[in-house]
Amino acid sequence: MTTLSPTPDLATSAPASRFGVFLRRLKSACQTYAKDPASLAALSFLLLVAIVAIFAPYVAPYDPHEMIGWRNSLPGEDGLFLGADGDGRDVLSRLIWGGRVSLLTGVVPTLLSMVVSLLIGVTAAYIGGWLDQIVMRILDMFFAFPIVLMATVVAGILNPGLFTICIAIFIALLPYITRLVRTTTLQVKRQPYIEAARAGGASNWAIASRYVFPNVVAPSIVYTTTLMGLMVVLGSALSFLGLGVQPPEADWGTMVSEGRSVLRKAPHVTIFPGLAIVMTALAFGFIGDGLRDALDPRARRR
Amino acid sequence: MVEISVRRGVACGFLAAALALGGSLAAKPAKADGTFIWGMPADHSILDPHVTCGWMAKFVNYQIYEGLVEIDLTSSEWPTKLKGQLAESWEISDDGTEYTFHLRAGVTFHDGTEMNADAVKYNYDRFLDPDAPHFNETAHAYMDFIRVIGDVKSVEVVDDMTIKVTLNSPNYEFLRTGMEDCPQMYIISPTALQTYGDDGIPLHPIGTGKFKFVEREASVSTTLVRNEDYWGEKPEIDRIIFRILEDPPTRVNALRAGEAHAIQDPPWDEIQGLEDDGFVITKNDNAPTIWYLSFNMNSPKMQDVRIRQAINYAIDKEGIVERILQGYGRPAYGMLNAGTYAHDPDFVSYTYDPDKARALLKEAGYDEDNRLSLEFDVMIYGTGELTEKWIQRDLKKVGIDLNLNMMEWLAYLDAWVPGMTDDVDLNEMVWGEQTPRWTAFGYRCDRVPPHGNNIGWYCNEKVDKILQQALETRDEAERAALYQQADAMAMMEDAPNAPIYHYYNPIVLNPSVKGYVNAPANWWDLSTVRIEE
Amino acid sequence: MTRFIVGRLLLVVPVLIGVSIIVFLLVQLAPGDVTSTLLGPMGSESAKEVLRVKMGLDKPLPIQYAKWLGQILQGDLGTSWVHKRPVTDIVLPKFATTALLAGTAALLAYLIGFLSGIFAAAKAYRAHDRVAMAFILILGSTPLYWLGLILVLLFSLTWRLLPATGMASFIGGGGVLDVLEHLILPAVTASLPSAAIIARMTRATMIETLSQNYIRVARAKGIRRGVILRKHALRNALPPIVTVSGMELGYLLGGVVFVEVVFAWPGLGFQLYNSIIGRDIPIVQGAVILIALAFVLINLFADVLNAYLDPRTRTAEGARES
Repeated sequence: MTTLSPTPDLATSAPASRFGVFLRRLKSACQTYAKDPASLAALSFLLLVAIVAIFAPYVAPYDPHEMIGWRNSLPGEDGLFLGADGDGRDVLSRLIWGGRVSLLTGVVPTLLSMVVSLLIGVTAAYIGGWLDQIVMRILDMFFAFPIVLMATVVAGILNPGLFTICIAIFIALLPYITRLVRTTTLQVKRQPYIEAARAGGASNWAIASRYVFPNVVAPSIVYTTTLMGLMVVLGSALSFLGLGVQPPEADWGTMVSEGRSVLRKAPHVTIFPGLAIVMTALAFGFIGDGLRDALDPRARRR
Repeated sequence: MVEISVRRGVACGFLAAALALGGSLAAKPAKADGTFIWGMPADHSILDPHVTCGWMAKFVNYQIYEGLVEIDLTSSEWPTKLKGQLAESWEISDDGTEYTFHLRAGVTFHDGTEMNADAVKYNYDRFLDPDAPHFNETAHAYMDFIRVIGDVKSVEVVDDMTIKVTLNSPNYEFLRTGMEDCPQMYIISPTALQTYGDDGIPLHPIGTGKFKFVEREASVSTTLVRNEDYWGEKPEIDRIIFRILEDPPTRVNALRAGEAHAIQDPPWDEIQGLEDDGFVITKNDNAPTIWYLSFNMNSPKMQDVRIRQAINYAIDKEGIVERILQGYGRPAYGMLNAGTYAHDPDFVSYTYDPDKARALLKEAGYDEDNRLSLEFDVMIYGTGELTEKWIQRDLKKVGIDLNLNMMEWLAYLDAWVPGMTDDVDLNEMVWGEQTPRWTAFGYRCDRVPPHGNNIGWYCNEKVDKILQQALETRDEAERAALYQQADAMAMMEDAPNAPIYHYYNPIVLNPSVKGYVNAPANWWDLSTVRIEE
Repeated sequence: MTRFIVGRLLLVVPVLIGVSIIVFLLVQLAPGDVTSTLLGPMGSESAKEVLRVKMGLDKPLPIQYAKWLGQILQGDLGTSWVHKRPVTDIVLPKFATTALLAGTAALLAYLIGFLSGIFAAAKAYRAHDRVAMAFILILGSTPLYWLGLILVLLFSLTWRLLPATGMASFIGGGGVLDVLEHLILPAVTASLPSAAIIARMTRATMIETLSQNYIRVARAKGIRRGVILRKHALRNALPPIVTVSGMELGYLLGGVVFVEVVFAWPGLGFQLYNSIIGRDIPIVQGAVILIALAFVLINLFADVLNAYLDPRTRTAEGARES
């Protein structure tokens, strides 16, 4: 569910000196990615889910909070394709609206965490010395809390809600991504082409922005993508504990936990949101794999 | 065609799932070795009766401690009767201000201490006498909530086995005062109070009751054993274990797997299935439990009586009890809960009439273009807030938008007890005591927080006068009539509350459990339970 | 080696001080008045004031922290506000039960994750690999609080093979076998997400190692695939796997809370959750400190193990950069 350590093969070291090279690499990466059917299917699935969620007001057949059918109607009954939940609400509509929250908790705090981690990690590792030491010791402190514990405590202390979950995930992920960024930066820093650039009189800022940053971003994106899937699951788990969005709003995790009481009588109430969580997490995982293969030339299919 | 085949596919899938999930899980008789395991829906608070609240703590304390008198829960009859417990008999003076209790001889606490008038007085001093060395300020505050502090003038030891309580004014509900859940006027062993102090009593709850405390594992279980030296009839079972099973599906699983003999608050949707599988469902139509909304009379929007009446008209209570409670409750129309002797089953205040609600709202200046928006404080209590969401929908139909402010139970209680602040329009509570005086705590002008639970700041002197008269009336039938009169007047003239339903307290038992009595209360006497294989 | 261990131990000290500061500050962040939580909703203002002085809450924060830290160092975690008893009495036994569950789950996760990871790596990019990885990822992404319920329905209620709740039978239970029986379902449930992560990690590392030049050389020399896998690849792939495995054990210590809820397992995670919503701050602090301490020590142990396995990581910093 969590604590995915940076895999070592992400620590790429391919040099990229000019924008043109970057474009060429991007193109080749896209081509590699497109060749992998699993990651392509995963990407299409996620895009579809995202579009449906974004346009929920237009796509959802019913109001997700309104009692439409009889309580716990099975799929097909009452004219509801996926049936109704314990409150008589349309499961399909709730699934569509719930996707907004679930994707949001998976994507936004993770992305934010990546951006902040990039800033902290690159700065600390590039400048090095006491700054690096201080940053690493502070990270170590946060690192001492297992991620679920961190997220539960943060979410429990703030008032429950969407914002709280996002903050909890954001804080819990910071040390993990920052550590990856820092390690990668240190590796890039040791590369000969950085020495060359420095000898050629490039400024610190120029080296950091033109050589270090691009090489650090790629593995961070791969790692972050995989984390997004895990965070969809973690976010849903926090909602199960009642620390997440509050009714009548619901994410997929809330839907699963609400339906647990009627598991035998109306299994569809939990199965569909459960499937949505699993498939989304799976899709993020596949996209992460595909991205890694595409962005890291050494890890490419042999 | 396509649609049909899709449907058939879906149907097949669910058939397969249903085969895996829906097969009959017949009740398995639980092991019997004299242990009775009760699945509680929430952890109970501490076992020091003078500074605790809540049904769960009362349930455990009921087995451990005794009061001078007690409500007899060995019968499911309504209304409940008082019986002497530590007091064998008592007299009430003609003016209704002096209660003389004759204590039962030969009763000892679980630690061997003798129960006598000094022991009782020592307990009263703990919350009444600020000069006593063991005075407990928190207990004092708790007792103030049910007016023990304001009511009691003095407590005197007449002789070794006689104690006299003198009240400031006539009060014929005094015997039942403190017999409810919040707080509990039980008699604790004075030796234990001296030895363990205020902080030690929760870990060493020592009373005179039918069961003795063994151990408590926080958030997991509390274990009691039979008191072999009990002065009266001893319990059938050797041991009670209260298991804390907060997650509703887990609670049901424990029952189904034979790992609990009884569970409280089963998920309503599961009850039918449990019954089909051979489990025994018990309920009580006269449980003193009422689910109600309170309106904030200090909120500018709620000051218009038409709005309060409109809300009462707009809620489909029949629908709630039928579709959410699955019949384990009935609509409530007044605040006299079904557990009190003063309950009038024929009283009806406002029945479901959305048109009337709309008309009243229109008179008050609200309609579809100018919708009324209200702030509703809601507690999270493990039931999925189904009723609250139902009410939200019903009110939406007549033009009122409810904002649900959900709070975790403990946080909710902290917000509820001090009374509604001006930015809240209504809140909710599930409660009820067996004494009809409970309605007075919610209605009377002088029972606003912190001196009572009139948390909506309601005040009507005419109602107050009738309630005071009831308190001073000796005859129970006359008293009941006065309480009914006060309740009807408040509901019809002012509608400060919207009662929603009386709850039947379903308890599900393993078929091997015999002798359990689902008495009209929110806690039960477990001394009659036995287990037969 | 000794120098490395001492160096790593020295690094732990500032971390633990930081942890204690964070945990102490939890109280300050918690909403609501501490004294009103303690006295219940009916506490009077004067009683609150008395209590505030008694608890030293009127003193400046650094002084409160110093006093609190002093108590902790003496093994005194304070008194539970809700249960009115020493936090250590509640937290330590529950930590042991959680450690039992998390430890068993971690062992299962290592077994499942490691084996399927190696299997997938050996068949990298072929159908077997894809199917195995997808399967384990699906299991790992399934919400545990749902999966646990399904397992109970099948194994406890339908087939009556295993108990559904608790850590031991309340009637005639408590023996080793009884506890083992109760342990199976929750441990299997809890192990799955970690198994998925370890499998992915093992697979990635093994593929990486298998593509190294020395492996290619060995293969070119005609050494059998199985031997290469065992003797060369595995040994070199171990360090990152050990690091992740340590982190997964630590993660499980905090992460089994969902499983504890579903199986009514009397563990620290559930107690922590209960205490968070019940605002029983001393228990929250005690539980968090214990778990964090265990997590730090487990990571330390993993680093030491790695240093032993791979001498290259024997610099205080080296282990963390691998």
